[in-house]
Amino acid sequence: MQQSHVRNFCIIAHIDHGKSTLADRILELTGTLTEREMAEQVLDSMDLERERGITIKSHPVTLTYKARNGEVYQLNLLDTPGHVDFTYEVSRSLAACEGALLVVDAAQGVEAQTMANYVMADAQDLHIIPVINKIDLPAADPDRVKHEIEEVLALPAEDAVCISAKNGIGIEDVLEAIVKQIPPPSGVPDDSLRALIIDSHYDQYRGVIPLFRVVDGEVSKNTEVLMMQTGKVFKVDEVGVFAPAQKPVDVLKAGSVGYLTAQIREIADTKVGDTITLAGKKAAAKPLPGYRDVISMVFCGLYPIDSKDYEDLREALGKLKLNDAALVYEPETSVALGFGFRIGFLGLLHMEIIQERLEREFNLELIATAPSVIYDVYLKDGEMRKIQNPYELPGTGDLLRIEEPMVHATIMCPEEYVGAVMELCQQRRGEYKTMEYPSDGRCSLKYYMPLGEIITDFFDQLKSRSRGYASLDYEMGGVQAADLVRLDVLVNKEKVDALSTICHRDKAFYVGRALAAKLKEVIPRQQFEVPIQAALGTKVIARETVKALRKNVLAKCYGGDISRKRKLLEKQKKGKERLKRVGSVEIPQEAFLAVLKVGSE
Amino acid sequence: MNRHGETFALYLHIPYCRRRCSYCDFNAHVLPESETDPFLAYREALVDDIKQQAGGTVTSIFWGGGTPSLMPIPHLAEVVSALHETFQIPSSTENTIEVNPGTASLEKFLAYQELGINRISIGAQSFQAEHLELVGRIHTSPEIVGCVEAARQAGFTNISLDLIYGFPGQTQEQWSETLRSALKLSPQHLSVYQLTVEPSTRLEMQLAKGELELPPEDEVVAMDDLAVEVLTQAGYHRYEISNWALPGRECAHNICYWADQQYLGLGCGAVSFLNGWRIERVKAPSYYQRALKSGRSPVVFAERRGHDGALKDHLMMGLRVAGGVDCRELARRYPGLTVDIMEAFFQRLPSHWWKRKDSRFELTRAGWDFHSEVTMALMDVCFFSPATL
Repeated sequence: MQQSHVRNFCIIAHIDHGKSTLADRILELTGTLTEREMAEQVLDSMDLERERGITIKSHPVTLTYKARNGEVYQLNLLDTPGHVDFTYEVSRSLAACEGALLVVDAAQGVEAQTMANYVMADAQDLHIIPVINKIDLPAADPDRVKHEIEEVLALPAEDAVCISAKNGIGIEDVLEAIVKQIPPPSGVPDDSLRALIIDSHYDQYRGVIPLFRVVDGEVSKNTEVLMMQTGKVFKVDEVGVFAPAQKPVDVLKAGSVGYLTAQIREIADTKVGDTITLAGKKAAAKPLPGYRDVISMVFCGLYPIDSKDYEDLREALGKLKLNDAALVYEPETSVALGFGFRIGFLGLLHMEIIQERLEREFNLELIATAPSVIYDVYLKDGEMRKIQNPYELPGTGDLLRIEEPMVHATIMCPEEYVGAVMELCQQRRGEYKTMEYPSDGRCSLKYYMPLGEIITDFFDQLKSRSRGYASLDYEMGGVQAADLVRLDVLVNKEKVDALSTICHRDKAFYVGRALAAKLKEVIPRQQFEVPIQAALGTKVIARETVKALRKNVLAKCYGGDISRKRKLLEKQKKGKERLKRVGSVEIPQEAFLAVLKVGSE
Repeated sequence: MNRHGETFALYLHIPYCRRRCSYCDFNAHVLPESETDPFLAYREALVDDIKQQAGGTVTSIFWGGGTPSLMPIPHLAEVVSALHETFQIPSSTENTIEVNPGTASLEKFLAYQELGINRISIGAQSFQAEHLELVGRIHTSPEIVGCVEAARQAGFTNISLDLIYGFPGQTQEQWSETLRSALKLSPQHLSVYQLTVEPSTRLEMQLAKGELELPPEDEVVAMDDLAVEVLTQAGYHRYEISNWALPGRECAHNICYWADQQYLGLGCGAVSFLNGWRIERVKAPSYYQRALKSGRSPVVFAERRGHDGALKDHLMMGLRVAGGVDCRELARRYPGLTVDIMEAFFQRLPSHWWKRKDSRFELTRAGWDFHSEVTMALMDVCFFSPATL
């Protein structure tokens, strides 16, 4: 395929605006898949993605399209995640494209994530084609949405493509727009190979398989390649494209997106963002600009319920890390929970997804501690420590000050919910910045807020206070000093490090009381009375008691009952096994997340 | 399946009730309204079921339900005669029928005497009108008294009452009154059950919806204590977690269950335990009847537990009983078991839950209160690979 007939594009959208459905229709229309072959939303290949209806990973697909002008084009589609947590993944896909389809819901209009994605794509100098989806919905108002796109994004929308991905309306117009408007790749075919690694995954038989965009030159079977950052050299066994399953080809030329296999055994040898070039004398002089480093914003401890599973957890994390560069982890020990890992995530959703994948794909039973952010803690002796585990926060006697990470939050919502949203932001220590009305009835609020307040149930609350209409996006905004204290929890008079939390001093009494009350609810009764205390330093500020279990016995058990009662108790026992023994008390997973829920009640 | 030489307890299930009680999850069915007598088809099936058995000697008989006292006497008589044709039934055999006070009459009790029934188990449940009504019993408190008197008059000298405590809204005073009313009738035996919320019952639904609320556990435990105090004082001894008897009046039939001995259960949904096999018959009366009519087996489930599983079942049942289990006796049935292995298991439990005398292990009252915990602890070990102990 000539370079002039190649188009690399991605689809960006706010979550639920129909990105994956559009991708599916494009695949269908180009004959990449027949309808029959197509499970719904082909690109969301992880079970989890399909269940949650979201895209987590970038997926590339190479398709062939015969345009109305009679010419045949190769289109490389890079699907991107829509959730705020996965902004990083989006930026990777964008770097491999020349253009983007910006999908906007014809009823909901521009949302916070639409804006964030647009800004990113614009910064990459991509050609952006606005696509208005769901035009056949009763509430659709394409003209208003066009106006909004022009107003809010300053993007000409007069020629926006109006479609219904669900019902297959206007899909060909989208393909025509791609061919006509998006420029072909500009790489130099005759230069030495330079390919940007976008992603990689592990195949049991063929090793690590990097996915990349060829910028300059070409790569084929038997080429000796060099990973410029890691310095490793491999001999290529196979190159290919995703159609959407892996399909070997003879050569991948400048502009193409594809994969290679080269018996790469070590995950660390193919870093996402690294440049692949030719080994030896023909190596490129300069690597391509890579990606910015991922910054974990949310941390939590993950511990196996059964300490025997620690090694399995380590291995599982290693495997997930392979195609999830955003995942960072290091070993951690908790007095209460034993050996585990402190894990850094992009956000709460990312954390939930990793935890679910560990439990499902690797069959691990885990306890997760409440998420926390990273604090800069300045000590009186001049030292500065970065604290990601609340329990490590030193006593007030040694502290000079604590700085917490802040974000610039943008919230978009219909006008009538502005009051409720502002109230929530204030409760979460948000500092009001601006308010704008980009179009009739829609409001865009900007707040400067502690990240630590957002990673609790802020998003859930935002949704519930706006009947699901508010959308949130945020970017990091440095650090700011705050009067923060560590709240400890004692269960049965023993301090449980994994239950400690950092909160603002003004809220400590409230949080302490609410937390103790919540723990009383979720900790099942034991053979003995269990006091629960919340304490600031040595001062107890709240106390609750889980009363002792007085009896656990089946009143009736006769001949006909034996099998049934035995099964009943087996079930009861299974439930108990999901508890983590801390000291002499058995604590369920909910207890460790109880702190997330106390802000809202 | 030649059982001529064998001995076993015999259970007969009569599935019909006039109304279903809100807490009930037994295999009970509301009597269908039809022109024909629904008991006729059921009796025919039960008689067929009996006649297909290979014989053997019966150590006790128990007519349970449902409401067996709803079964018309002529049908009952047919079943009894089939029993005598098929099994050896010594004249002294304990022969119990469950009676709902709302269905009792002197004539019925006289007929029961004729049929060889010698023990009456009365489903009294409560002497408080409010609780009887709450759970949908079909009888009143005075009917319980009348029922016991009629049974006495007909010559019965072995009478048991079932009582339930822990009803929504029940007070200590009300429970105390029920216990007093029961004792006034001088039964030989009492079964005293804490109200249990079983899945998919009307009661469970009412509680889930918040229409009813169970008394707090402290209250229930106080009711426990009261029963222990009052019944002990009245001369009854607690020979099983929920069962009390005057000396010598323990229910032989139920003891056979707790001692993990053989039993044959006939009728729909009845369970048998024979030669190490647990066998279950189909639950629905209509399926049961159809199976027997067409000559098919009514058995729908059979399991045989391994050595370790069988021992655990045995312990789960045996530890419900005063006196517990004798390890030396157990060792005859489960070769390889030793007193040391058993001791190692019990050492896993809090020491105030159990006691040991020579080779005999039993639960204390505290242990009884946590019998389910003990059973779950059993699931953690394997008695025949001592490494787990």
